[in-house]
Amino acid sequence: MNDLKNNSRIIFSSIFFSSLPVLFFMEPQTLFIIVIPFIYNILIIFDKIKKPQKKMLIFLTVFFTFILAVNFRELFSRDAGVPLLIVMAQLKILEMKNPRDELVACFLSFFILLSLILFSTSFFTTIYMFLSAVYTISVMGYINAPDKNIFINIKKSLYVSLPALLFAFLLFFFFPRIQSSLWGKHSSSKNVSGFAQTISPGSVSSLVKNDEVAFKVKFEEKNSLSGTYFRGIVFNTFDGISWHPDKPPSRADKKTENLNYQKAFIILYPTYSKYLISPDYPLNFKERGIYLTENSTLYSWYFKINDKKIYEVEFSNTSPDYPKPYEKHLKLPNNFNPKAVELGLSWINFLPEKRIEMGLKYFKDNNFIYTLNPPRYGRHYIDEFLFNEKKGFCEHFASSFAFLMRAAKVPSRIVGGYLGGEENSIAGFTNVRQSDAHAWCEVWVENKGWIRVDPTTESQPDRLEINADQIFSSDFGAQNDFFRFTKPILNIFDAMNFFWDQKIIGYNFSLQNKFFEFLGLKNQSFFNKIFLFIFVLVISGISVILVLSLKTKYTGKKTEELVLFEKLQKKIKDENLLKKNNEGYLEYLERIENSNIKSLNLIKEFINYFINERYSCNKSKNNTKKMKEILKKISL
Amino acid sequence: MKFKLNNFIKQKIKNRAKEPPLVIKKNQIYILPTPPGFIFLLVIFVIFAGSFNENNNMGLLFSFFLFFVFLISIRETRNSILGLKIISIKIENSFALSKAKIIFHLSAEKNEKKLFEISCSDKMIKFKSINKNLSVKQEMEIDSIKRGVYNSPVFTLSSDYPYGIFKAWTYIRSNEKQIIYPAPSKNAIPVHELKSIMEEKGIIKDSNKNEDEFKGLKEYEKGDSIKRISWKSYSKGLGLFTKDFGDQTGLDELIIYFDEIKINNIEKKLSLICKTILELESMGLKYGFETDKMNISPGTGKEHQKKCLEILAEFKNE
Repeated sequence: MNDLKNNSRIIFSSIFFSSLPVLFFMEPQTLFIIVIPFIYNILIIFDKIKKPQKKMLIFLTVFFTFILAVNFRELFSRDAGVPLLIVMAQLKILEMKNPRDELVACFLSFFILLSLILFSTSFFTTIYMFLSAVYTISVMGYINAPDKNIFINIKKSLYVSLPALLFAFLLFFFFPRIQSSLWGKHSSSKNVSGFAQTISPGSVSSLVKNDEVAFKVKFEEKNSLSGTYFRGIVFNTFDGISWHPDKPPSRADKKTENLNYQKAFIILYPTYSKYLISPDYPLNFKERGIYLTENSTLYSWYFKINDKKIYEVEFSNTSPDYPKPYEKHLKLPNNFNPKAVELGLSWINFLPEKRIEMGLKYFKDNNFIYTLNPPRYGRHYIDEFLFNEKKGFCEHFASSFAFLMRAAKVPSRIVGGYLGGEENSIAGFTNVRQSDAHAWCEVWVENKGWIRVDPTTESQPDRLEINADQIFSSDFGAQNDFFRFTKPILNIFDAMNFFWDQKIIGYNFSLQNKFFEFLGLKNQSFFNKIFLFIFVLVISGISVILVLSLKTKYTGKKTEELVLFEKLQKKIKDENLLKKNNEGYLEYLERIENSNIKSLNLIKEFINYFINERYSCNKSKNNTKKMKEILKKISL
Repeated sequence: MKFKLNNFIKQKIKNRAKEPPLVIKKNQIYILPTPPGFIFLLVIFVIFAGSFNENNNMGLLFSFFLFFVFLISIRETRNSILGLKIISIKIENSFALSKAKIIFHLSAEKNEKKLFEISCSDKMIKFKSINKNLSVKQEMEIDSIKRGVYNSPVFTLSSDYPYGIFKAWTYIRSNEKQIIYPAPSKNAIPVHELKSIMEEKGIIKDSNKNEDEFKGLKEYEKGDSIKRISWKSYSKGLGLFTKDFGDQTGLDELIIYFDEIKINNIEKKLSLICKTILELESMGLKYGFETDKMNISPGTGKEHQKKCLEILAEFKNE
């Protein structure tokens, strides 16, 4: 009974540690629901209230399931499932009756720990996961162990966990990867934030105050990053208020044989859209289910990017000469922005390239102001922006320029993406944040293709150098000192995370091929890989059982009664009267009974208490106390 | 059918049980996951399958990690009984329908052994721990059901240390036979009856029925049976006296003639003789035992009693 209590305390702590990091990702409302069983459990553990009856437990289970189901309108998504799992694990603690139940509670703890990867897979999360798993393993040991000491168990579980981790990594690299998933992925969460699916006034500027990292990028060849545009979505249609992308975008029908390509490695954080980010003009993509559109963007056909996506992309700096412009690239909505239409039409006699020049000149010459807080525009917002207010953010610049070009019969489109970023010098990658979001134009010029024109940088060249946040943040100076101090440290952490993402989280089909190439096993078929994997599995299994068994050594701490017994032995001076190693305690007692040892009765009593303490199942706490008393009396 | 096959294999394995003194070796240990161990394996598989489908490297890594924890714990569990030295297993003789005491004497040779148990059918004893170079004796009581001499029962020495997901076990047995005496009946054969049989056989000439009556106390002499000491007078502080039952020559040596006891049921007969032997021993008389096949000359003492009882246990019903 006492054991059960101790065990449930320690299992509670294990479940608590497992769920702790997940709690940080919960919304307050959910957190409130989860905390209730936690508090309930703590009250029971510390004997403040009684353990509930079975009926009560069933009621609580149904109750919490119902509450969570009502709250999320579903149960099998990440946001509802993980809290449900935590609540159920809490209730399982209250229901435990035997060691088997207790082990099952520990397994639940592993599941909770695993659910953490649905929220974060950073390097530090992983370290926490490992430590917490080691703790849960030692709790499994604690449940089963004769001595209820968690520290001994932690130490012992490290003996098991560290080699296990080593072998896990070995297996990890050899486990054959496939190019895409076997049977559909499920979406783990609902839309939260990300790049806008339409461009309209305010759609990009809303992102600018968001300091989250949108993606990390590392170029294979180190080149000057400044000025790299990262393409996301291409918007072809304008309805007077917003620009819309094609739905769905058509696949590029032409394979470009471009020898002058570069490679970039990208860790893209969830965008909750189907578009992937690529520097400049992506050329192809090797993963199934993701294709290159005719607008030179990457599009995931089946699934939204709801999890961290890690990929490598080949890209070129030269603008594509396809597709030939469609009618939609010239189409303007009726009865919008008459003045802008008029201005565009006035350039129509020039050559197309001259018209583009005229457009840019207009932006340069008219003192446009780049601001996060543009005035409120009405129906003809392009007219108001171009001719009256002249204040706006990149989406105003881009959509006005594209509008002017269409009015001047130059095919144009808008590209949404990112510009700029902040380099981490330690690992040589670049953090691109949501605040680096940008929109620019592309215009079609015969024989040159779709040329990038960025009216924002034409009128505000500074935009390239510093990101919007720095322009607009008024309290940036105040934080400057703090940043200067912590930045190197944060950079190191960031670099470790990047390395982890690049090598472990992003380990995939192509990286595995590289790894095999490194081992001298080029171009292995899938079955060869499976064979290789099984080979490694068997080898590591054998080495676990054979090699490690050569070296097994752990000696537990000496228990109190043993220490006392050794003290007794020290008191005995005659060597013949000491206990021999191969002798049982009772044998020893028999032997000395027949000798002329002094205070035999005391020693007898002492050994009786000793045996009681050491080998009896129901021992009393007095044993060692009595032993100490007797030890004082014995004088030889 | 499958169940029977299973039992058959089990029996075959059990027949390989080793006798002490022995040190448990690798090839004597069997290991299988326990039910929670199978659940653990299922957990690992679920994590693996999910991560494989989602192409989630973290999940894969986690499942591999747990898998190796599972594998390495095989080794840990095996080590919890590997190298355990079984010095002796003593089986004490017992009467049928009572309990037989079995004394295990074990020691840990190389490293500390923790938490293992020895079981035999539904009986089980637990060992908390044996420290390095120490030995432990522990008793276990098993039911002795039927008279006879049996091979030692097979004991299962097992451990699910440290995580309870694997169970390692080995079969051991004693090198001693298990001897079960007949269950003593309620009443013994009265001494005078034994005597009258002896008279009939012509071993004792005179029969005086009052002879075994209490005549008085005489002073203690060296060699007198302890059982005849008058403890009452000793406790009163009068010194040591022996109860005098008169002239006891001839009386001290009683022989139980097996064939002369007229009971058809041999087990009942053995039970009766068993009780008689116990009685005679407690009275401190010299007694012997004779069948048509063997002859035990009269004697007394624990050893003698044991010898007689063992003959009863071994007695073959033909």
